[in-house]
Amino acid sequence: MEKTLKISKDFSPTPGARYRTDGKFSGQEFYETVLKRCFEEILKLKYKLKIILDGTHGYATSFLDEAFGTLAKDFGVDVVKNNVVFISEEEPYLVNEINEYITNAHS
Amino acid sequence: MLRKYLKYGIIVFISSIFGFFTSSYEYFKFVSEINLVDFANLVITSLIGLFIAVTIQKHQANERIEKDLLISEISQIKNDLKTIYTTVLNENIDFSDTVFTFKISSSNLSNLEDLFKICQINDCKNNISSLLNKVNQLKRIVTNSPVQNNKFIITDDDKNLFFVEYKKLTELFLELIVKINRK
Repeated sequence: MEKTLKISKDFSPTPGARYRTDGKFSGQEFYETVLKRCFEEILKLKYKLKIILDGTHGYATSFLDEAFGTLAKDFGVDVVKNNVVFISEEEPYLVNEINEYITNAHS
Repeated sequence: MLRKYLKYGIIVFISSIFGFFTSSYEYFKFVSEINLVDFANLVITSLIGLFIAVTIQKHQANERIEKDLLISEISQIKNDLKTIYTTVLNENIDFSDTVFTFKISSSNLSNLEDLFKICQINDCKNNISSLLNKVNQLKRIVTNSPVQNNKFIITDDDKNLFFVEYKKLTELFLELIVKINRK
């Protein structure tokens, strides 16, 4: 089973920068209000989390690094990699980019 | 206009002289008879020649249209990214516009790969990958910077790095355009 999280619908179609102090819809806000809760929920239910990246205005590097890097730091790189699937038709290269932030969060 | 007629005049003049001398040549003998087999041979050979010429011309025209389409798509992406270059130069990097332009440019570059496949050009995959990597590198330099009043605040070091990488990106674009054109 899997739970789907569509960032444009469940958070914002215009994701912001890294920290709350940078402005609205930051990576920090996304992690604290949506992603962390969702991830804990799927771990409990032993589901997979499918994150759909399409439908937004675009992502700043700082947003992705903050949100998914923090997730990997808090839960562990392998746990995140084994339980999260990223989907992007509009920007397929984003999946590799995010995986890089997750891997780098470990070191 | 006068030059054009002068050119034709010279061609007619040279041809007349050539015709005069060749017809005076002792080995040429003109017989006022028509050999039907030779005549049919001449007509068929001419038609085959015409067919080959038209086919080649049409094929070349189609290839040119495809090349122009690819080059115009690449130029569009190049121009979109140039707007980011200008904003970095002026230190007026709007958050929403920059993020959106990077998204559109990278997305169009990914789509370009499919367009190359449709046009049956298969040896440009590496060029597009290099371009995508470079655009991503530029995106990281700019959009990893802190934000103030909906604008990215970029350090001088990052700004210089951006210019160096942007120059490399422009070279990659030109390399791809030249490669397509020489095909």
